[in-house]
Amino acid sequence: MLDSKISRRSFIKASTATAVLATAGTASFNEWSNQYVKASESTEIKEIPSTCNGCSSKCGIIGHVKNGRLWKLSGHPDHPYSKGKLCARGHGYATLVYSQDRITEPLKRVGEGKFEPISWEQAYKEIAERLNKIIEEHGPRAISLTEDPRATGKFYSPRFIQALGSPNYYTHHVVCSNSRDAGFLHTLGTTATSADISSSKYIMFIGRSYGDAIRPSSVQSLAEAKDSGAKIVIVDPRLNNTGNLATEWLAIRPGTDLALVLAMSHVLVKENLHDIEFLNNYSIGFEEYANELDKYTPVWAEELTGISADVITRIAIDMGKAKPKSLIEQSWRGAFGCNYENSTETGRAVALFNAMLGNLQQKGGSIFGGKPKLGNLDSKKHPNPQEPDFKKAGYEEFPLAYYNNGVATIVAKEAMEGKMKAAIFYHSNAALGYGNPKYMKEALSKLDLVVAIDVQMSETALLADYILPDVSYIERDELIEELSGKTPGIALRQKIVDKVHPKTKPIDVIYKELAEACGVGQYFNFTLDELNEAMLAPTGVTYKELRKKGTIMFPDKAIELGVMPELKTPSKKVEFYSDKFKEAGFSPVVKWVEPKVSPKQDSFRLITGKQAIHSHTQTANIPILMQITKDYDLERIWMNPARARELGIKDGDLVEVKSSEATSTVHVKVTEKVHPEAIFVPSHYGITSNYQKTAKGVGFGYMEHVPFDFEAWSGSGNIQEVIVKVRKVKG
Amino acid sequence: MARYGMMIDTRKCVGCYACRVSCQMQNELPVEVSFIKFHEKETGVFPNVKNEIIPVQCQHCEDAPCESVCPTKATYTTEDGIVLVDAEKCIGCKYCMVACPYQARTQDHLTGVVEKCRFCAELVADGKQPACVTTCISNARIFGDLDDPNSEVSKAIIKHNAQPLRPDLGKSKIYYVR
Amino acid sequence: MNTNIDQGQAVSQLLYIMADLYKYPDIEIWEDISSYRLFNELKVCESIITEADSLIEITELPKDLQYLQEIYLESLGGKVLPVESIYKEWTADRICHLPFARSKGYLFGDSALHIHYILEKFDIEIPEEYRNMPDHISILLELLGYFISHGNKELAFQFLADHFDWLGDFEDRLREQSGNQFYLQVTRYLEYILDTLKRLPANK
Repeated sequence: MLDSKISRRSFIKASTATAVLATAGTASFNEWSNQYVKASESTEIKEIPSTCNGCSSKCGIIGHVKNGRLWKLSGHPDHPYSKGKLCARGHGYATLVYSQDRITEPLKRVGEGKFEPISWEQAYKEIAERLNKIIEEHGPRAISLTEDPRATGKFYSPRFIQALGSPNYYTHHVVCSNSRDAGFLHTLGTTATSADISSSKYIMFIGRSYGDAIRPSSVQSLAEAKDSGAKIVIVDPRLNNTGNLATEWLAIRPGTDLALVLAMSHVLVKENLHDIEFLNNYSIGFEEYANELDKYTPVWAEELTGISADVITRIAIDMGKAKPKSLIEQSWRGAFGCNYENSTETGRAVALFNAMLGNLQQKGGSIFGGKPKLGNLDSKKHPNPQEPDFKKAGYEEFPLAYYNNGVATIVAKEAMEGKMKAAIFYHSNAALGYGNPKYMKEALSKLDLVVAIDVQMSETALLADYILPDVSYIERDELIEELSGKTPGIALRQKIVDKVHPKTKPIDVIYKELAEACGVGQYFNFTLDELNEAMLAPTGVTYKELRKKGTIMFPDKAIELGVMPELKTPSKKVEFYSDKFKEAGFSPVVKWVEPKVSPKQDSFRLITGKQAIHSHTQTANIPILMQITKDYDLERIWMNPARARELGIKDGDLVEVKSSEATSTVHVKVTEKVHPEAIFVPSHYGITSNYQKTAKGVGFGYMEHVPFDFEAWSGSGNIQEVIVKVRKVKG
Repeated sequence: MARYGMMIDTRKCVGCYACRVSCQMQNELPVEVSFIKFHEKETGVFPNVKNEIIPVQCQHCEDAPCESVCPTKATYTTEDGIVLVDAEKCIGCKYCMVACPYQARTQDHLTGVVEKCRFCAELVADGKQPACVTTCISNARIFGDLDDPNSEVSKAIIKHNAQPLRPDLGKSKIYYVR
Repeated sequence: MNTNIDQGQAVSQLLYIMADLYKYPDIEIWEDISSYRLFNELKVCESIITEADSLIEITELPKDLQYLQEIYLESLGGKVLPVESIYKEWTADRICHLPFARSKGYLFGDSALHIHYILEKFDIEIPEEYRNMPDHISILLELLGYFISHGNKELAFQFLADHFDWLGDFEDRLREQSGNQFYLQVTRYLEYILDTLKRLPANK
């Protein structure tokens, strides 16, 4: 007999029955597998409605589950974004749940890129101690939390940081729509309108591409508009994939969209095609704006934009004639979400152009969507954390930025200055995506505490002191999601399958437990279910019913078109003249603003955009999606043939792209579809994390070339104020 | 008896690849194998450029060249006009791959069997639409019976004067609007 | 397997030790490794099973526990998970419409479902946290050890044939990871042992 001295940590636990049963034997894998396959046709398939996480649209999906495993996905027929359809990302991203590249347990950093597992209790304890110590020494002003918000995070994240006494909650909008949001907010009282595309007669997109940043219902409405004869103009330095649905492409010089909108506005006034009655009733300051517009003639704009004065005039006149069923689509990032020094002013000019068309809340125009009326927790039983008596970091510098979202990169800047001491990142790859990665890395390394909560080992997680593993969106329940639009509704993300990685936890539980460890658990004395029940209370819908249907719309609460709502601006009207802008030290009326940099004869402006098969950098590691990139070399940069000839570059050549910040090598696609002054690079690639085996090494990271910067008005990232030189490496 | 066919309106196709992925899922294809390929055609000179995205899959030709070269009759046309491959009979000789004018065929590296778009024959037999059609986010694909003058697809082909991709290469059952 | 009690126990003991080697290393197992106690015991067990001397030895000992934990995390802890599902086609079910139904590289595949079936059938529990990862190599080895020590030769042999045929691919993946000599050697040793078990006269 062996007298073992080896310590044992047995995983399996047999019962007394086991020994008896084990004498009997069982079906071999093959036998079992055959039976199982045969049985599979009759095996019950459960259909669980939920929401996608392939991009920020969060379309309704139906997860089909068999034997406890995810089996198939389809689009939710009732959800207003999916309308029964799913895009490639929706199908592909779900594979994340069974991916081997997940973060599987809490990790603590023990050296450069080195981590060791740590128990949840220990992680909470250490994080709480460090957070509390920082608060004690530097005040709650020195801690922050940043996320790319989803339903649960939107509620829990700001509440968590506020429970610790800090207002420092930030979102990814700094590299998405901060400029547009600021421009719209102070003009129309909302950060974004939506658009009644299918009924519109004349639609202009500025940088925005429905064909590349996909929401199935948007593409369908655009196709409908086209079928009914609408004119569709895309303004973009590259011919994007909405091109097929468009009637005209204006290949604008990058960074000059503001000049185009100003000149079109000029034409509306000159031709008396603006909606004077609407402006009289619902706006202030139009006269000042009209005076300013006087100098922005189409000829002036032609010089800047490269678009002929005749074309500008024709389009403005046609849009004026088609009003109110004409519009400039509001975009997200598009060309003025965070791209240039003049983006906030472009956002403002776009909102004002729509107002001049009198299209607000009109059929075929811009829409202020209705929101569902949802309930709250009983604040007596569940006290809200006290509102801090100081503003979040970045407010002083950028008072025009939408306060709820903040200026996320201020965290990095203040880390460099030693003012910020702790940063928590949830569902956010800030280190790669928000600002120059070299800068972000240095900034994060200066912090006393960095915590990343994520499903995969992102570049941000690699820089964190603690990494807390979230369950994937297929494995969790979330907070009820508000759907605002012509018809308001609600959607619920719910657990489709049980979690695969034993030590992962859903975010609501992570916040609750971390809050308890920090000594502020009283602000999280409820469960997610209780919170959802409270939100549902006023709707008359039961939780059970919502769980069963997944998406519920309220058609009886649909907004009434043709009725202009009171706006949430200081004057409650459209503000052509903004005191807020004046107070912040900017021109109260929109004026032309030069972009910060301009390319010379031998250089280019680097521009970026999306591709339909990816979402930020979060889908790059999904094999079925990355394979499409590989099959069609989608990671290449685009270069105009005239410029390529000058540089001796041929289609497919390997080239070096050099900016003030970085040097990258990549293959080139030589194409007439891009402006000669621009190099286009898709924004999904350049993953450097070793943990993302499929994604690593494909293409280069756009942000590596973007100097760390803030646009003066809204603080956004100025991500297209980048000059590069390109040279051939080999043919 | 039907004669199934499809119309693809390339003017509505935004190249989102949803059809490729849903086809891969429906047919359980490995990530590297796809029955749908995409051709991009750029015409004109900046800034007057037109870009066309043409999704190409098996065109289900009448008198299909792949069928006539097949030594084992593994490739056959169903009564409903769908060209299929009988995996049991296929010996993996690749004659059909060479014969296909559209290069729409691909070989399974494990079994050696040559495969291609099957118009989702099982779904169609069940009264449903092929996966690429149901998922198409811009409704650029219409599927149905070409012999039925009242079918949506027949009417759309006439309305848009849709044409086979390469009429010179024989009669196919996928019509394109370009 | 064999009917010799001592031999059966030796095999089980060996498999249990191997199972431990694939878990996240703690101080106790490190002491067993660094004092060579663990390898001596492996050798003793091995000598009871076979007279042939193994040519495979575990020589690349990490310098300390911290380093061992590091290389564990670099490999078995994430990048090269020792989980059977990953190395096999995800499902044999031909009506699954997931894009990776026939691909390798995903967790919770058919082999995991089969282990669920076995666990249920024999009333064996595993830690709750491994419920959706029941085909982790440590669990597989412990199950094999259990079947052997409880004398069900047929069952054990079948289990061995069914659930360990992926170790070659696993070894290849470990080899691709630099700095993984230790776990590579452990795995090659395990393959040698399992191979020996398959060849034992009692199994012929």
